[in-house]
Amino acid sequence: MTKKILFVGEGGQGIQTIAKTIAHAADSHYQHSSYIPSFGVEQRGTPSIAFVIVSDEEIHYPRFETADILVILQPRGLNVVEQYIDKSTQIIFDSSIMEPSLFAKYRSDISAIPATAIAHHIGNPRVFNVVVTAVVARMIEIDRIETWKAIVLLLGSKLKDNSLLKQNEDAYHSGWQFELEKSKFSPADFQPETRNIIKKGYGKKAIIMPAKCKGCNICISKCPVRALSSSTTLNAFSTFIPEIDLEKCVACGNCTQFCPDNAISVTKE
Amino acid sequence: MDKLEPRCRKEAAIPHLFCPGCGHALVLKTLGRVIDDMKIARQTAFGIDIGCSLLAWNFFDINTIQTHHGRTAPVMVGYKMAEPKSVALAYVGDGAAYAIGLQSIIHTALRNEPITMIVVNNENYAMTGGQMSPETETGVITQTSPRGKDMNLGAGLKSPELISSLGNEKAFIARGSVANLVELNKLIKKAIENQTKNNSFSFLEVLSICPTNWRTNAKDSFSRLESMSKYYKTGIISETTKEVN
Repeated sequence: MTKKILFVGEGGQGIQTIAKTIAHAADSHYQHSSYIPSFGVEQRGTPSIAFVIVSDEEIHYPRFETADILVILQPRGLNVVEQYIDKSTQIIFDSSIMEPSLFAKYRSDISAIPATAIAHHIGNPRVFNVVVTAVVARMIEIDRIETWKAIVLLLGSKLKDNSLLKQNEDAYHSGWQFELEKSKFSPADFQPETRNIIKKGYGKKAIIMPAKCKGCNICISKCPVRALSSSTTLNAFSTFIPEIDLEKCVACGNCTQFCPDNAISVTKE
Repeated sequence: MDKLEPRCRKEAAIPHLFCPGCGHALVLKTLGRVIDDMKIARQTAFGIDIGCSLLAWNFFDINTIQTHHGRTAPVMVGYKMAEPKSVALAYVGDGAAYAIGLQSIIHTALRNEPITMIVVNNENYAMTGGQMSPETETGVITQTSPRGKDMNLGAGLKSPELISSLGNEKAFIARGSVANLVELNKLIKKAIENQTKNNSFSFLEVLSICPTNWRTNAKDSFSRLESMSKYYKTGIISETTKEVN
């Protein structure tokens, strides 16, 4: 049996990590597995694509023309992978950020998991790729323990913190136990913030623009009075925008000067 | 148009293509402010190279050309010969400028061609995944030096010093850093003025950060930049003292 799986999402979401984990864990059930990323201008803000094949037979070429399973985690990736979809493709998408109507024209089997919502519920939006890994692993019948071992192997250095390990475990189990949504989908209410956030008070006015912010945290490290901190609001690049405390802020303008994206400004009124 | 962006910024290309926290964005933003201040957007030609610097291809709403492998310097020299009233800017990364394209820079400097060259030094080949470059200091861990750069491969190449040793007295040669954007602004301004007023070559290296390939967070990126600037000293390395007519 051969399964061709295509992963697509936003660069930085952890698409390549999911694909690598699946390819690693697959040898418990399949004899061969291959993983290859799609090479392009891979960076934050562009679709990131990964091809995975798991098979009982030898794999001669790691890419393919039509996918058996398409895992899509960001709406922007859809037009890039359209050519890999046909009638037999099973589409899995993140229902907490995408509407099912996006896939109406493909006549393929669609199912969903609200991965972002689950990760938010666990308390760390970054564990969302572990949820997706568990879903895909169960779907192609890889061993549960083998998959977890592959996750620990690949994320090893990041899981030193016990609370992080616990969150990842929770994400893994909830992903594994989740019944895929087939007809009734969760509401797509985890949209990234795009409107400007304007805060006024203490004679100052701060503007933060989530449409431009890439979440590099330079403003937070450059603030001399620690008025800035990381919030849990997502921006368009699936990272977190900063939050400002105007009481502490002295309107020195360091954040505005050092922001590579020109996404923050504080002025005195 | 957004008031925070430089006026010469291309509106359709917001947000830019660089990674989160990229030093290129800081250098380009400062360059944009200088172009605005000097009101030279219409006569400027902006040449970029292969590597991360090519992601600046739609950053500005000014004439832009892209070539490969350090050949930005000769291309801009040719452009300047054809359009002597223009302001020719070559914007290159350290891998392209110092490894494969060093001879182009040396001969441009030797002949005192009136262009302004800005080299962004982040100590690695960032676009291909952070391999070791001639700029990498000894002991620094990269993709191709997992145990730290070997002593035998040489310490980081100090190109501005190398170019100043060519004996071109009219050239303006300096090194700035994204840790100090006010100083960087002044240096870029001087580098462009040396081209427009003195009709001479100017060379500016900018120490930059690469959080993606250095695998650092914002705070660590800037502390590594500080240790970099202990080896690569910032400031003006050589400039002409007398006015040339």
